[in-house]
Amino acid sequence: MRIKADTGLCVGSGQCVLTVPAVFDQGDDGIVVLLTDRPDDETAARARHAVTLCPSRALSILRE
Amino acid sequence: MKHRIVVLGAGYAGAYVAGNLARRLSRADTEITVVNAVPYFVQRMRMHQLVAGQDVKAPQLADVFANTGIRLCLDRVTALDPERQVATVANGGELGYDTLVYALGSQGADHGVPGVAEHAFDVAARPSALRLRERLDTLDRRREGGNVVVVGDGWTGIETATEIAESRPGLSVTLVARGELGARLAAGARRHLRRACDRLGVTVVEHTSVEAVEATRVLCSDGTALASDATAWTAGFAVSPIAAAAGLEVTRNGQVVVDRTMRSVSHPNVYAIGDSVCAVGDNGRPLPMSCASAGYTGNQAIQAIVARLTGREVTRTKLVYTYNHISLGRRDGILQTFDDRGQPKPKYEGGWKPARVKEGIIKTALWSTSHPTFGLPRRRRHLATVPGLSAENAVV
Repeated sequence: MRIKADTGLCVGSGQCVLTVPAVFDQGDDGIVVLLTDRPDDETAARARHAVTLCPSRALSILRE
Repeated sequence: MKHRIVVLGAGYAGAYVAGNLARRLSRADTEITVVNAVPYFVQRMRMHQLVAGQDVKAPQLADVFANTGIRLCLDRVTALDPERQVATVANGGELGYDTLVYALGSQGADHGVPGVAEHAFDVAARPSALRLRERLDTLDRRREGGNVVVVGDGWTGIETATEIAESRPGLSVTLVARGELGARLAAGARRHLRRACDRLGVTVVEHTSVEAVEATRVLCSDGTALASDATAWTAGFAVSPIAAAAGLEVTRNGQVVVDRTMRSVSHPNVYAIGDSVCAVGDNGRPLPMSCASAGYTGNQAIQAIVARLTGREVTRTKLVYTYNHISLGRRDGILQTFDDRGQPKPKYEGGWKPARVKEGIIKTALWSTSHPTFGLPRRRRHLATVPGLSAENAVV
């Protein structure tokens, strides 16, 4: 599983950071920063949840 | 003197932008004031749930902005003078600004249909939604049933009709659509919607426009009359007339005309966001009035205001319209995606999953607007320009 973050779409609501702090962080301007684009098995389910929660649809899961 | 930023309106757009500006600009040289007519935050996306009888939180704005340094002015904006850079409120007070964020949003509009103002309820504001709820409570209590007519099959009309039907099974709900039901949806999603209306017992009246609303009936253009004990009017929304009256350049429907950074083309120290702006999306079409557009236009305005005041380059954020989640009661919903031309894509998702996602998004929207001090940045930026200098003269 690989996650993609579109920083142009992100509005900095911070929900992903709250949901999986091990995968998502925010930059100085509040915009999403991926700590890893390949969450491990332990965090994958929560990362998927974070993707569905994103209000601006800035997060997506890439098919590999 | 500090640089004065005044934000008119604290809906999804205004509250979000005010909180983020407070997070990112130094309190030593900026002063942010938010003006709102009511003391609470309105969860506009949940007004149909309020009508249906559910508990919908309305956080106090004083709590929302506590410890942010934001000054809250609870009063109705009555006028704007962009030449003097002053906003006037109902008690006669004046608020001077160096940068104005115009976010007065939209309200229900009758579009000249007689009787709507007197006899129908809109669900665009909390007081009118609560009045409709009281009426429905009264109908429910008398246990003889009652007819509820929802006029308009935009997303608000669809959500209102299905929510009332699910929560108040003792009432008969009719949904009046000007064309085919859910015309903005793709064929599959339209069928899903129709099945949901059947399941919930919503009577659908299509290809019908409403000519007048009376106390106990709704008159249609084909001469028929629909019996109605309560009429919900969702067939029109209009923006606040204040921008047009102030002489800002506006579109025919009164939305503020802006450049790509949400800056008024006629008054460069005014930014407009949310429903009250005509923002041309990346596909060349105006963004629809919605909470999602409030996020995208708000985000662009935040980037532009902070960049211009702190002497950095303005980054372009994306302005898109890609999807709508439409709830059909609490357990069903539709996710409809749209292509670059704003046309619905054939593929859609229907059922409990989009309903749950929509619930998550609304929670997220409330959480992020009502916790403006959460998160980054840890550093607030100082202004690059002399405080008090208007944005049009600022280093760009």
